[in-house]
Formats: sequence, C-alpha cells, structure tokens
Amino acid sequence: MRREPVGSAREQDKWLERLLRRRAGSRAAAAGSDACLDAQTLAAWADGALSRHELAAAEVHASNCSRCLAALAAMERTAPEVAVSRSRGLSLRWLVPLAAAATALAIWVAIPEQRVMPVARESAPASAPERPQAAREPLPAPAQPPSTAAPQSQAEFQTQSQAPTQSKTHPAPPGRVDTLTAPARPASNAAPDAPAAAPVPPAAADAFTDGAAATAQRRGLSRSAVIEAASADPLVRWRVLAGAAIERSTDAGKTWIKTANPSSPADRIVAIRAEGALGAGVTTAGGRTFSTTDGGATWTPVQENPPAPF
Amino acid sequence: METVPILAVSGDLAERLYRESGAARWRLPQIAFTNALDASCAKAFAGRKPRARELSRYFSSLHLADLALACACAEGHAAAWDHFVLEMRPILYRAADALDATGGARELADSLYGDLYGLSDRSGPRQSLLRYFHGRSTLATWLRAVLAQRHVDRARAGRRLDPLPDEIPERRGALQPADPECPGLVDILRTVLDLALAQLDPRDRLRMACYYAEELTLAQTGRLLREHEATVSRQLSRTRRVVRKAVEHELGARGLNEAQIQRCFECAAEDAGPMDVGEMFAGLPRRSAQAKAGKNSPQDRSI
Repeated sequence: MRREPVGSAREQDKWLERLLRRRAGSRAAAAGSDACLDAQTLAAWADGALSRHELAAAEVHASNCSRCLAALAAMERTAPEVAVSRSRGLSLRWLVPLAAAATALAIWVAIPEQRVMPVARESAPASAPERPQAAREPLPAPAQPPSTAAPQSQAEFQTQSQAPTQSKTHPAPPGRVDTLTAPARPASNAAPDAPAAAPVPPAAADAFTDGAAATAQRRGLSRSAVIEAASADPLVRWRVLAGAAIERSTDAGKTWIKTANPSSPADRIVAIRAEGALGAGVTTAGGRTFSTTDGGATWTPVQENPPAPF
Repeated sequence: METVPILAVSGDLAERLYRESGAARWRLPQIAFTNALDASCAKAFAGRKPRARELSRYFSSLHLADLALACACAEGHAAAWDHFVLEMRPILYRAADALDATGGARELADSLYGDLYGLSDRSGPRQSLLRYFHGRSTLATWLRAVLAQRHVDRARAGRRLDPLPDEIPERRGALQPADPECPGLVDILRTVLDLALAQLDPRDRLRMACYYAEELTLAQTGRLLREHEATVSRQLSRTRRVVRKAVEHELGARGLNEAQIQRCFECAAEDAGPMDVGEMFAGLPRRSAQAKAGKNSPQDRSI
C-alpha cells in the first residue's frame, strides 16, 4: 500500500478532511434525540421563517441528531431549482445575451469577408479563384431603374438555365463573370484604375472587369449595368449596356461599335456571349436567346434547347 | 398529538385573516380556520402568551392561503382536496425523484396521500396529517419536509437490517492492517477526533456534518445555514484547522510524540482498521447504497 508523507500541517489537514468525511457521519449516526425537529420546523427553517432563537435551538439539535441532519440534507436536495440560486439565475439571465452579443461582434469584426461574400459564395463555382481584394468591395447597387429583378452578369447568363431564380435574386459580382469568360486577359488591357502589376490570369481578369467598371463610371451607369464578354480572340469583346444596348470592340476595348438590339425595351438583355469578332449570342430576361454571325447587324432567335451554345 | 389552543384569536382579527386567506373559496367555516390559527400560535409560542405586536408579526408571516387549503383538506372538502392533489402532486414527485432517482421515494410520496387525506375509525373523528401544518412555511415546503423525514426514517430502518462489516468476507479481508501498530493508533485517533468534534460550536459542527457527512455542496450548506458558499468554505477550513490542532494537542496529551502523531494520520489514511466502512456509512443511506454498488473508490474501502 502506498504511503504518503503527512508531516506538514497541510498534509495533515488533508488527511483530517478525509477522516472527517467518515467520522462526522458515524458520530451523527450514533447520536439521537427524543425531541427531533418536526416537519413544520424543518419547513420553516428551509423557508427562513424561524426566529433567531428558534433557529439557534434547531441548529444545536440538528448538529447532534443524525435523523434531523439527514432530513435537512434531504430537504436541501429536494429544493426546487428556482429557489436554489436566485442570484446565479439573475447573472445567467444577463450573461447569455451578453455572451451572444459579444460573440456576434467578434465574428463580425474578425471575419470581414463574411459581410460581403455570401452572395458570391452562393453562386460561384468551386473552381473560382480567390479574389480577396475584390471580395472586400461592397456589392454593386442594382441598375436603375428596374434592374433589381434582372440579373445582369454574364455569370448569371452562364448559370441561368440551371438556376434562374437564384441568379435573379442574388446578382453575382462582376469579377466572377470575367473569370469564367476571360481567363487569360493581358494586363495591358486594363483600365486606368486597374492594378498596375497583374501578371497572372486572375489579375488580368480583374483588369478586364475594371474596364467594365470604368465604362459604367464614365457613362453614369451602375457597375452591374455593364456586362462584358470576351471571346477567344483577346482583342474582341462584346458588351451590353444597361440591358438595352449591345456594343462590340475589336481592339481590346479601346473603341466600341454599337450593334443592333434584338430585344424589346420591356425584355432586357441579361447576358451576352462572345464567340468572335462577328459571332455573339444574347439572352433576355424573358428567356429568349438571339445570336448573330455578322457582327451584330442582324440577330436570329435561337430555338429552344440549343445544342449547348454557351 | 393534538395541540391545545391556549389563546383565541379575536373576532375582528380572525375575520380579517379569514378574508385574507381566501378560505371562503373552499367553504371552510371560519371557526375551523380560527381554530387552526389558535393551534399555530400555541405551537409557535410554546404555551406562553405573546405580546400583541409579536402576535401581529407572527400572523403577518403566516402563509394564510396554504393554511386555509390545508385546513379545508383536513376538514374533508372535496374541492380543496382536488386542488391540493392537482397542485402538490408534481411537487411531491419532483422531491421524491430528487431523493431517489430509482423511484423508491415515489412510493413514499404516494403513501403520503392516505395520511394527508386522513382516515377515520368507525367511532373516532377523521384525522389528517395536514392538521400538523401551521402555516409557518409554504405547504409545498412542509410536504417536502414530511417526505424527507419519511425517507430518512425508512432508510434508517432499512439500515438496521444491513449486515455488519465483519459479516462481509471480502471486506474483512480488505481490512487486514499492514502495520500491527496501526489499529491501536487509529483507535486513539478516532477517540480524539470524536472529542474534538464534540467540542466544536454547534453551528461549526452542523456545517461540517452537512458538508462532510451529508455531502451537501458548499452552496447547499450555505443555503441551509444562511451563509454564502465562500463563507462556508472559509469556515470549514477554519474549523478543520481547529479540529486538527485539538487532535494533535489531545494526542500529545496522551503521550504520543510527533512521529507517532504523524503515524496516526498515516495509519488512518492507509488502513483505518476499526474505522470500517460499515461504521463510516452508518448514518448515511446514500453512501451505503453507493458502497453496495461499488461506486466508492478502492482507497475509501480500504480505510
């Protein structure tokens, strides 16, 4: 059997405590009394209704009577929780909402991306590259006047056939459009406000996007009112302005040529696909699709279920 | 044991208290309620005649509505009894479950109803346990007290049937002392410890008993003694120091040197011998149940 030193007062105190757990019980069991506390006295004690004199007398008795001590302890164990710790309940009542508020505040401060990213994350493909800087920018305001109901990004054009309701209610940020449609734009095509050094494809996409942003700014349109699409030819671009005007560029966006518009004013263009200098396709909010093979001079309605044009 | 009223509550006061109690709801006669008030006073003031101010304070502290309900139930009013059962059964069951999670105490709670309702002989009057409720606490607390008393009484009665420690073979083997000197030292220590505990202030002894013997938490002990749990902790430490010093002093007075005193503590901690578990758990049915279930630690069993 293991022996432990008990020389110090602290150790002896510890051993004594262990002994007390036994001796106090056995001593109380050995004691007894004829005048045990009745139920009314026990209850009044528990409710704090005994006078000082009565309480002192009851304490003297209970300290020598195992039956009354056990009954008191049993009563204490059966005390309802509400009465158990009123002050603790009061503090918890404040502690819980305060802790929740502090946690929410900490999350809001610590993860700024969460404040603007949900829309992009909701509709972005898993393979989309990270764009931390663009992600911190606020979402663009809806186009004026009724563009809130009409998604105006090419990404939505890409995904409209799969989830039209989702794309209509949550316009995606323009950067994601460019990533999908123009993965390798040269940095030289960037607008003046684009980052100067952008050698990698995502940065080129940023520059391309910022070109659309600059256009929107120059024309007084909202950022989402300009939809640009790039073709395989890096010099050829097509774009839609405010859902109503279609333009094309063959010099990487330096100059733009206005083309015919196949849609009606009530049926805005919500997406555009660039196939080349002469070929393009557009989709309207009403779900109609048109294509051109002559640089936008004429547009031909595309039949339903086209053979995967986009 | 009927309490004989030694004073009569005056007419106006009785009427006001009757009105405040809402006893009319149970169609309880005012005279019955007044008698209950008289009995409550007689019990509280133990036969002496209280001053008017004292009496007024006492009446204002009473739970009159509960007293009226108890009185009406004792008188056999069906509506009052239905209300009583509806309100108090959940309280009793909750208390019973807290006492014994296996459901044993629920039997006690159920058996209480017979006594609470009261049974009458062919010739005698109907006697209800509720006669002993005097309104000094809530009816719910009083019922918990009655249940606690019955639970303790049943446990104590059952413990008398438990075998003595020496009759348990495996325990007898476990209590073989490693050091032949130990049993004698532990005997001395036990005697001295009993003396030290007996010399404590009753409140200190009660605090230690609640914490060490009944294993109440600091908070529970504090509620019982109307102390903050930090105060309980501090007082327990102080009392423990007092007991240790008293034990050491008494051991020294009995001729033990410092090394022997240390050996006393060592022996008690290692193998208490005569401080067997049967004696240790004698006053504690809950501990006894745990010991039977083998829940206590091996060290505890060996001491």
